[in-house]
Amino acid sequence: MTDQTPKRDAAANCDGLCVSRRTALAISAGGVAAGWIIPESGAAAEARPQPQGAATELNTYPRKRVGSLSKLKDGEPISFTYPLEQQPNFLVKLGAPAQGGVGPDRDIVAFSSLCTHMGGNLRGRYRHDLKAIGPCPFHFSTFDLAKSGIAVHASATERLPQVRLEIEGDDIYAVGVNGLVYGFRHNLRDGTLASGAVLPQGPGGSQKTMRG
Amino acid sequence: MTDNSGKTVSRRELLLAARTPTVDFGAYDIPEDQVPVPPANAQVLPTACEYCIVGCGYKAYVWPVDERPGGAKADLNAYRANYPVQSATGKWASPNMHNIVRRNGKLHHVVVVPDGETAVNRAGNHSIRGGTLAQKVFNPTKPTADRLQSPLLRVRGMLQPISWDTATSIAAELSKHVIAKYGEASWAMRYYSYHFWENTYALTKLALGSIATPNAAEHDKPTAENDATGLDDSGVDGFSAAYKDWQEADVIYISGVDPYENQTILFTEWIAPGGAKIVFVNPRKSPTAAYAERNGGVHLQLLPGTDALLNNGIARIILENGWEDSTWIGKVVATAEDIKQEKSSWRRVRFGLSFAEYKAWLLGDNEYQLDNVARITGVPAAKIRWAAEMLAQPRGQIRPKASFLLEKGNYWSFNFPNSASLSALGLLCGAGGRPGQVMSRAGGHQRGMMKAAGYPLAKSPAVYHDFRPGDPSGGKIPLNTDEWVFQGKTRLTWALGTTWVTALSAGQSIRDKVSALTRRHAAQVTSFDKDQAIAELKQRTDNGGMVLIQQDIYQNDLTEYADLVLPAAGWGEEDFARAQGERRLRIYSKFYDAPGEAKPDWWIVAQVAKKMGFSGYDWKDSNEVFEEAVGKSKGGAYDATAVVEFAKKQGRRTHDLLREMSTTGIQLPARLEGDKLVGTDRLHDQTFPANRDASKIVKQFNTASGKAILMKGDWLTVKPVREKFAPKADEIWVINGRINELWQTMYDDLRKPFSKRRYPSNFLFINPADAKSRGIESGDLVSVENDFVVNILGEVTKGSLSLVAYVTDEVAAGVGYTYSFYPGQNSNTIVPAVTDPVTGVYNYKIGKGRVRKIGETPLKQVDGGMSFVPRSIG
Repeated sequence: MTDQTPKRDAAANCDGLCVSRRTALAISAGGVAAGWIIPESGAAAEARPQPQGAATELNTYPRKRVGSLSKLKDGEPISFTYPLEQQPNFLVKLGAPAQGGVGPDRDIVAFSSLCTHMGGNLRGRYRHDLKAIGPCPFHFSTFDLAKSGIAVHASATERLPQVRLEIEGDDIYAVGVNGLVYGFRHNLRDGTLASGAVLPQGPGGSQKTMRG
Repeated sequence: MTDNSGKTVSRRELLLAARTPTVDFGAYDIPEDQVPVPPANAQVLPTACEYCIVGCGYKAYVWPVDERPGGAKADLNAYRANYPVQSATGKWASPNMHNIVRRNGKLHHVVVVPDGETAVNRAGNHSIRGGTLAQKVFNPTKPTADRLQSPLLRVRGMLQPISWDTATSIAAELSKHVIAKYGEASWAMRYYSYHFWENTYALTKLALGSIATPNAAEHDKPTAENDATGLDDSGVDGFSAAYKDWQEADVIYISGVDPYENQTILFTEWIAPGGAKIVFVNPRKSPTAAYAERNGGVHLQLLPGTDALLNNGIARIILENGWEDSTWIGKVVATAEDIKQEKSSWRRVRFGLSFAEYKAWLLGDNEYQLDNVARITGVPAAKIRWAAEMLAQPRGQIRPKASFLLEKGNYWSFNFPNSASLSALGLLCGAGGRPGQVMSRAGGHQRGMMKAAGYPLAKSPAVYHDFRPGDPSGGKIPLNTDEWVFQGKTRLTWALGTTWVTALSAGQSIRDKVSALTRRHAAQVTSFDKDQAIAELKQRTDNGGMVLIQQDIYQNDLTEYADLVLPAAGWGEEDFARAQGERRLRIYSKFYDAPGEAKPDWWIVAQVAKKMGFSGYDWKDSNEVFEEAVGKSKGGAYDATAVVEFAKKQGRRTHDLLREMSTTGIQLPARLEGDKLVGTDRLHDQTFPANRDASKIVKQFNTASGKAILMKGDWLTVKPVREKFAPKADEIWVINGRINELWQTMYDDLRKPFSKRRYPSNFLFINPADAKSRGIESGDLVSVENDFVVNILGEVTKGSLSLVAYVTDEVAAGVGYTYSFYPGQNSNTIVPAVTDPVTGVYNYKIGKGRVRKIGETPLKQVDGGMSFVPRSIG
């Protein structure tokens, strides 16, 4: 959404997350129950006029330091954006082991702050006694943070997207997201790279981005 | 491709590398992080939700898989949305809203999205059930791969594919045989009432019209009886209200239903935004109970089966204080003379009361004194009194606008007294046919029934046990189809869209009996030769057995006993129409090809009917069936004759007109005012202008006099039955019902991994005190055993059920709660087949049993997929 985002070469981008349209068709015809991954890229996309402030298109999840083990306190969520600046999340130490939890007690998790029902902001609605977040101010959806964000009761059709975390020394890094963030068609499209997020180095994952 | 180190890797490895988490997430499923967007030129077809009564509007966006998906800007996609999509705009589709289907033989993407332009789920609101509709459609690479795709005949014990011609010939020949030899009452149809007018019309045309059997019942009942009978008898149609009435009410009495869980959009889009205080009557402190108490209302957490006492107890407080709406009562409530006009309803004559009689009865019976009501219901007296004040105490000259909502928690425990006492309380408070002052069912499924013929009551041998000479219609009640099976009088049953043996009460007993009459009977089919198969099945019917024909979209708990299985085409696979909870008629567009040889039910029934020699089944498409069916709606709550007339005047098919009316459709009854097609907000509308022309049901109550009747819902008829079936010694009540994430018999939820993960097993909500005394923790495997499951013949049988424990204060001590229709773990196993003596409806909710721990489940572990967080924080 901003010109500050580095532009990326369209031809050299499709590794990991991207599959050609031909491959996607083969998936549907051949019966592999895989995800549908059809990037808004390639020559046809290039040929179309790009609206002002064209969307950024990343192709691998960046890495971002989101907190430290020594400073994180039980039950006190920390906000951060990831992988795009437009995607708010929270990091929290639940005080009890959780699915996808990291740290010595397997109790540190991070989730999107946007309800997957209709995008209500869940900020300030963490319930430490229940290791859950909700009810959403819009329509009361409530999610279990110890069980990978599944609904306690919800109108949402997806779990609360869980940010994948890694520990390196005292640092906690966000390295990916399970599930689509509300409002997006792809977690790595239509926004700007989150501040402090770093793209992996290498042939398919340089600091380049591409237009979508 | 190469990886970051320059090493060549496969695409699969790359996908795994990119998508596998760095820690073990426990669950097998890693949700998608992207979803295709329909291109600007995608086809858009209006439909409505398959599931609950609210019937939210949806649109199916369809485009070929070899076309480019849409882009991120509004002019590049069919939603006309800019990405990222803003919150609460109803323009975002999640990955679970997407699937791949075959349309006209070619693969297409489909995204089924809640429609923000409808009058029902405004702004694209949706429930978890409807929101995942795209996961229900057939896709052979997904869990829906096991859809029934061809007719099956059980030959030498195995269900094996046969042709439609053979299947329909067998059905027709066996039907003709049993009707000729044993009479039409030996031929049973258990038809559904939910799945579209085209189908229900065809089914009832055969069963109640051409054959005219009294051995017929809807999917969820043993008899062809109504649902909320006491409400119906009072003259208030079960779906009389407009959704906007719930928004306009000051206080809503919600009896035996959790609308957040089960009519989600009725609650989140209409009730909650209106800000009414809620009097929540339910044995569970469920999410809506928590909401009610947080927002100035009150939760009356009554003990199971005490509804009639509570309703009457509140009414008595209102009468003692003179808070009843006297003006309203004087104007609309039937007098003793009015009630005498009810020549066609023995129940109204027997149980209808004038206001003076009603008042004298309640004030004269000490059972309804507040202290006694509080003691037996378990609800504190102060809360009962507070509820009465909220409902009826005038503030100066102004009365609160009170409305009343009920569902199966009310009328599926003690059907008549519960629903009659509720409707009388409502009338006392001025509810029924005024803006913000209405009485309605919340509803279960949608209004899919359009009966081709009435039930042949004269042929039923069943009579109300306390019948008195002179009662209208001879006090007849429809026969109990389960009883007929037990007595060996049913030679053939055709069951459509119902699991029957796991849905009705005393399930184990029914299963044993049906098994003996079918699978365990000596006469079995041993050949694919049509004539031989028919002869062998005739041997069955002539030797005390029964032939079972099942018609459905999947195999289910009933299939084990079926001889012939017929594959149905359903939602999205044929153009259909039906109405929802405010009588809104809409099209349910076909948007993809039915799997294999599956056919719509109307087509299947027509083939059999023609082979039986009946005429009037030569429909060429579903629109023809629809237009014929609508003829039967004249003058009723679902009168759509004006819609067909309007279409015909324009030379159009009615289905095409409905498609143009999209997801808003029209509220029935419809009428023509000049050139304009006009709908109806609410029924029995006391504010309807006298000078405007409309049918009687629009302007008046649904009685002979046009007035509403105070029906006597007598707790004293409940009390001894309830005591007989109440928990003894170390038993607890084990009641049952729905839950937000699951729909009915879970035919789709079993195949929606996202939904099923919430409840991978049926559960027992159990109070922490009951759990502690039995050494039970959340995630433990527990058994419930009931040694007093009386079956329909009055025999005492036993029932056992295993469940995963969910320790929560959502239920009170002494009360457990489980899901009604979990396949393989059906609550009806522990529920006795006790019928309401007035209406013959089962007390489905009244179960009990001993609870003990029998093991632990993996769900108890950190990586177990199920949540045990208390739900009452909503």
